[in-house]
Amino acid sequence: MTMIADRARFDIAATATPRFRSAPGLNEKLVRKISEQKNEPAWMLEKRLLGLRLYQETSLPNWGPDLSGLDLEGISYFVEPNAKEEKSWDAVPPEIRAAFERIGLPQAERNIFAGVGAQFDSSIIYHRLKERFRAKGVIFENMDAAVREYSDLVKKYFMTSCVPVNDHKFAMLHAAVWSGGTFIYVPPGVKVEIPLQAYFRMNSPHGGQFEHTLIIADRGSDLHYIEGCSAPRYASSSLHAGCVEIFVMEGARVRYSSIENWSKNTYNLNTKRALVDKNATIEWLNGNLGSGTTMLYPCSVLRGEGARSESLGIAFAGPGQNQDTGTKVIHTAPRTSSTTTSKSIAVGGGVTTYRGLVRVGRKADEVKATVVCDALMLDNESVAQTYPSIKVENQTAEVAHEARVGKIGDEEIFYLMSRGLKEDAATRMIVSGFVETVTKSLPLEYAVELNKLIDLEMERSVA
Amino acid sequence: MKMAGLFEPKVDVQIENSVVVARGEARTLTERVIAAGNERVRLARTIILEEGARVETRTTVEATGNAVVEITDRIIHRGARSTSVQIARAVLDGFASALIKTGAVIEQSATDAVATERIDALLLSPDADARPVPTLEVKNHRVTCSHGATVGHLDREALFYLMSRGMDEKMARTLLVEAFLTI
Repeated sequence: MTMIADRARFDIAATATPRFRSAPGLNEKLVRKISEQKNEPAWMLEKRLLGLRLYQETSLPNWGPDLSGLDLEGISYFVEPNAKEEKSWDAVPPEIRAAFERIGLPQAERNIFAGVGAQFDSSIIYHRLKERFRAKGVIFENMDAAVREYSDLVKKYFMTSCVPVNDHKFAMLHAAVWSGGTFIYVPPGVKVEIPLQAYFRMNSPHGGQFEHTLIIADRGSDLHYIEGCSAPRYASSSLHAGCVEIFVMEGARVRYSSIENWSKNTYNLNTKRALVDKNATIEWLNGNLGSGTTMLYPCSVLRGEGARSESLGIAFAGPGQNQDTGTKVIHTAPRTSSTTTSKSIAVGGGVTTYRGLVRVGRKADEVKATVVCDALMLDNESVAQTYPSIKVENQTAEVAHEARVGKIGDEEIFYLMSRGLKEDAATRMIVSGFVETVTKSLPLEYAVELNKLIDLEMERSVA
Repeated sequence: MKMAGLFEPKVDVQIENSVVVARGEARTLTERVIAAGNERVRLARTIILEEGARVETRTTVEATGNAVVEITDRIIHRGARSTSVQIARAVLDGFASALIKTGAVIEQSATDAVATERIDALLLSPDADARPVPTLEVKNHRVTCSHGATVGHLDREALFYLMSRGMDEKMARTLLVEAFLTI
């Protein structure tokens, strides 16, 4: 198992030369070119053009972290790497393989995961699906191919009712220039016992990541999907405006785990949303470590009776980072329930903000919702903010929210030091315990990597 | 019927308060808001705490009819060892709506500050709605800050208990609501 001790390995760009990189800036010609390159059906091109039009007419949000450093005109919106999609790991070109091996992907891939899609810039290079899942009718495909091969199915669900094209400025941008990503369909009653995962990386100066993940879990199915990503560091800013849409149909369960570890000068403006039907469950597991500025608010819409949402999240903000995250749960059906747990850590001048929402609609009888958001500040330069919003329009609801902000207690540190640990080791151990609720729900490899990453961040941030 | 927000509705009662609680002083601010009919009430208070100062705000809201109540409080901790306690309880009936936003801002100079916020809302009718928003902005790590918010309904068991002691339903509800509003 890889023990990550040196973050520099994430920040070195691989030397692969992209096959096609579009000129900076965004215009209709580029959008048409992207669609043509991917050989898309007409309906997808129309959606892209709609997205572009809306994007150009919409202004930046007037709330949240400062986005003035984001140079939207200077970004290259489409980069295709120098390789075709490969089914076998060994056939992937050496420089690209080296980039992933540096991150530790091969080890992660070898063990319990069913299939791995690895994304380099804007295309899926490597994608493998285990035979038995294919036999059961499970579709695990890269998004570009799925648009062509499963056109009708994708057309029904892609940016229609979950995250519509006009949702917000960065969803509009996403609709125009999205590229790559994962499409998963699980047929009724099928339980995918092994987590499916995709690991992707951004590797181009001014390159943006706009991958789209669409998961459809049909009635009674069960799926665990994991995403983890890393990007190298450059002097100019880069942008990640991805989108994840999840449809959890009656009685199904989807667990979506993701570790986002973009490099320090990335703007991570991601959209994640799940529509949950009757008696179905969505479980979100989020680890937000990297990126300079993040705006990420995973949202569960509980629209079927008895639907459930569970969300566990960690946000870590070190020097120069601003993590603005929060979970949104919207209860529109009766007897739905949700629990949200958010843990944030701010150190060395980092800023963490929790901006969540619990909304109970008029017809949503007997709803139970709880939110716990705790923030740990490790020094005086850091900032922790919480703005939880609760809106309840039904009198039978039971909604509770609690939050605590503070530092590690002196007694706890003293206790560990009196047992022989040095102060920084004691601090790291306590931070590890603070995030344990979330890490213990991740598969072991990710839990270990997450803990190591947090350790590393703290080493570099705490003087 | 509630306003859609296309224009700025007339505010019937607006109270804007700015209070500085001086070094070592302790203040308790109690506010009772009662709104009915089509009234719109807005309450905005900013309280600045110097070193060792303590403030406790106790706000109760009783709203019915088409009333809309908006409370935005901000307590700014400037001095070290300052303490704030914000407690708000709202009972909403009819078509009433309440936004209760409490805020504690801990500046870098406020070491060992303590801030607690608690907002509880009780909904008595199917058309009422509550929006509790407790917020925290913390810039100093040597602090103890917490907040909590709940929205709920009258406890059926408690109602049953009182009625089984001979009270009629109306009286039992009144008693429970009064208890809820006693901070």
